Amino acid sequence: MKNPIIALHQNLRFTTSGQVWADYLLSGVGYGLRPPEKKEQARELHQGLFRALPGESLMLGLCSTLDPYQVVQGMLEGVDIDNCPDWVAECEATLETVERFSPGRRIYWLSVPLEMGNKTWASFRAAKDSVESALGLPVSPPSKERIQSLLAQARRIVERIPAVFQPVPTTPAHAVWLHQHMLDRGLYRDGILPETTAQATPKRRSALVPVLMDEGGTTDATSRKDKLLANPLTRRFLKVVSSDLPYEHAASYQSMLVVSNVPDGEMLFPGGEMLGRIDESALAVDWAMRLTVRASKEVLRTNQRALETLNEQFSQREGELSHGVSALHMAAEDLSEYAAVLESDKNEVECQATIILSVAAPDPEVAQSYATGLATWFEGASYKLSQPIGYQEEMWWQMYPGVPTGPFTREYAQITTSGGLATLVPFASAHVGDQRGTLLAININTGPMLDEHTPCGAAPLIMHDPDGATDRNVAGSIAFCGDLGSGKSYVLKKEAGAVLDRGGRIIATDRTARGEWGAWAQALTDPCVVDVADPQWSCDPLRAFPDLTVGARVAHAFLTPLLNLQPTSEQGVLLSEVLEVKYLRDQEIGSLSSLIEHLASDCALDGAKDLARLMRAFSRKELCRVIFDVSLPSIDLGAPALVFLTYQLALPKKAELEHEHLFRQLGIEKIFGRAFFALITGIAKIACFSDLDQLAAFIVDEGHAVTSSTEGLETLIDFVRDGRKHRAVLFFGSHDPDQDLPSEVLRGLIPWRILMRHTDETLAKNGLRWLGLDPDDPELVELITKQTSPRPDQESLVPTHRRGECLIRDDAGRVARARILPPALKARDQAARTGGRADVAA
Amino acid sequence: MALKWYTRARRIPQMIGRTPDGSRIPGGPYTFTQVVSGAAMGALLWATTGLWAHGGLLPSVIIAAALVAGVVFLTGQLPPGMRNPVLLAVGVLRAFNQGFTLDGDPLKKTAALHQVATDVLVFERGSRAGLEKQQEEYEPGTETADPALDPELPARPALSAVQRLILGEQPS
Repeated sequence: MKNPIIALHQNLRFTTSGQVWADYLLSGVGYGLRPPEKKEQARELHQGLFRALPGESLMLGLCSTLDPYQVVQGMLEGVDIDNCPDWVAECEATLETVERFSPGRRIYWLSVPLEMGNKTWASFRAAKDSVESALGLPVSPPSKERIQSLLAQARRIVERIPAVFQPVPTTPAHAVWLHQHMLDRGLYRDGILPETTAQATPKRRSALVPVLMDEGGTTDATSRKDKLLANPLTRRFLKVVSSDLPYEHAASYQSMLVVSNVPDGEMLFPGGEMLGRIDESALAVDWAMRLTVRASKEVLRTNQRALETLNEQFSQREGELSHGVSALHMAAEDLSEYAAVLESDKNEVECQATIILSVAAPDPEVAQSYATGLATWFEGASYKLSQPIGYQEEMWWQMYPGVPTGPFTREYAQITTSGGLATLVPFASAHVGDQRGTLLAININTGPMLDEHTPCGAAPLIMHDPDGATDRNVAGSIAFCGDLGSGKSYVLKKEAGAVLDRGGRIIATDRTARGEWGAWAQALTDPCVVDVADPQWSCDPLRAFPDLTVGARVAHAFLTPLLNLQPTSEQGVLLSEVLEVKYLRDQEIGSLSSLIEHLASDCALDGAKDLARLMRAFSRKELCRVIFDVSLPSIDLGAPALVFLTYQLALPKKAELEHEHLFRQLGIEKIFGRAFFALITGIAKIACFSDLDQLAAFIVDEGHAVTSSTEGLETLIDFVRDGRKHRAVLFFGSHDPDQDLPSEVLRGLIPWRILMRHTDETLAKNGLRWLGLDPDDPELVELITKQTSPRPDQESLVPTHRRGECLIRDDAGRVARARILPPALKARDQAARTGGRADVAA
Repeated sequence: MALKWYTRARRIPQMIGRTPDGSRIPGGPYTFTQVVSGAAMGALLWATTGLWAHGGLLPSVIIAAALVAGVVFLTGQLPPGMRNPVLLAVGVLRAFNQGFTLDGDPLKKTAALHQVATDVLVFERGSRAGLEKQQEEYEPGTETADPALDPELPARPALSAVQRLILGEQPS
């Protein structure tokens, strides 16, 4: 058929039939991993949408490919490119990796025909436009008054739509984009969706490239014989070629299917969201729903006629021995139920929906196999998809806004109520994440990746922008929770590496004997690695901070728990006096070691010698060299990465701090460890808060080491509380949020939460509760314990394409299933791996 | 909430099993498709008796009845609840159309790619006097061949016909 579009003005389509259509982009409603009550809310919103659209409408769910350049643009936004060459290299490598797995996203489109007004006048105008167009004369543009009147009419329609769908008027550029998308289905050539704020320059039909169509792809036959022998029954696809390109380079083979039969019984909700979950079919499917909504009064009249027909048929088939009569009985039951539903809710409407689906590929056989796969997927829910012979082109046009509903569409219309149709949840979204920042993961809400480069359906990407969080007045901190070996440390290193590469700085604590964070930091930058067991740097606060006031304050905070002094005790007061800035300056004390010397020999204050003895008990220990050895250079607080290797330290348990007899028995590792962790967090806070324009991340892997100490926990809470204002974020790794994040405040202030694999059911439930999901939902528990990065057997590693699976909750509280993407640069990827030899080699 | 489709309640397969006076039609009930196709076959046979009814009345009636009965039987084999057969028949006819359509019109022949050769008018910076001088200096047959060009190609004049026209020359 001919493209009926004559002109495009703003979001209006003027067509040859005289009908004007108004187009809108809709946003999906948050769906996916939500409790049933939330899903019911989403269904009710859809019901409201259908009721708000009396008459005809066309809804589209388009599986659009994501342009890798668009992704990289988001990664580069806000980054000083000249000073971040490593990030530029990562972005360049990302272009290639993103292109490989062709991520996508769903775009929702609503097109509504507007009332024609005076039909005679509208028909005359349409005829005039058609004649002008056929004669090649310039089509006279619609008057401003008419456009304003039509826009006002369109506005009245969308004002009734629930606000959550955020209807945004399209522009002619969007109409051109949609046209091109339909031409290029399956070729993964979608351009960037134009901005909705862009200037809406009116366009004529010439802006829409004429479409060459070949039903059954007969033009592919190499000989006349092949062409004649081509069996149209087996070639149910449409070859679509853009007429502005040599067709042999740009053929899209599209298979259109229509829902031809629906289940007889009731489809339970949640569970029957065939359109909302269509990406779970693992195919890139475009769907269109031609909808006719009729008021219940009108429907009751039609039902009355159907009842009369039914009675007539009972009479016609009386005495017949066949299944036909039982079919009439079933129809009678349905009719009666339908009438009761409409009677019980006066606002209920009838929805006649024709659902057309399209799958495409650059190859006809592949397109047909996709069609078979899609039909099989629908069969699982007792729906039947058909490809009526000779109607591929017709179906293509029926998916096109502006094309009037044809007899074919009416023939395949399925009837239900708005409440029932809403259970398909067509406008569902599982979007999480930011618009820019680090490329964190790929959204696998529709199912795990099929192989390393093949996502299941339209899988969008998930970005995380801790830097932009400050500007958006939200916290940028993130916490990871998961089993041993689930990939927490890996993703922490990925995130930390991104902060470094984007010009930020990091401070990390590392409790592993391998010192993995030190090795990782050395692979990325020129770090300052403080190994407590074999120190190359001194952490003496009096030496580390150029400002003695700060140094003295940190030293006091460090020595008080180390020496177990009560601030108001005699020795506590003495320590406070000798750490006064004036005193330190007067006595020329520049280090804790010189402070001990001063207390032992030169100090005239009471109890000085006892305090010196107490301090020497620690300073002579090998473990405490990192503080008291003056031969070591002082820690470089200006280094881009500060890493503290603390595997020889231990922290006292909560019980040891609460019970005096246990506290008295604390070993020196625990006493020093407790004080040193307080010192690290103090240093981190000061270093991270020093520059308001530079993002700084404090990375606490194996977080229980810090939060099991009361002081460590309080310092972290302070850090997160004040961090947003200072562009400082916390990256926290944990095994169990209940144990490792014991404070409600700390948990609440970390908005981004990532739950990785947990094979233990209790820990999985704790994690689900932490994400705000139902911990008693057996499906969710199984998802975390068995379906997240599962190992095929006890001896095998997790397959590469299943590694890094997790649930992500973003700062808006949206939760989705995701797979963490490794850094695009191989060197970055290898540096972050901490598994065995097989892991590093993978 | 559950989804229930009511298509079945409204799309009732309609059959004819009784005459208006209530008596049962033998072999019934029949679908509309059977009735329409049988009637169409009967009408066709009636209109074309001159072509086939040459064996006397009885044999002709038997043949006609057999053909009508055959059509009714065959259309009765179509699955119940099938779509509008006219719509499907239109689709089958469409499926046998071959080749591209462009804006709904069949594209019988796709134009083969071919090169278009023509003179190119190049506007160079320079005065008319310069161009005239260039033309004056031109002497046919005296130009040196460009080594980069195929020696068999005929040498072209420095100015094209169009350029000469622009300069106000009379075409030779």
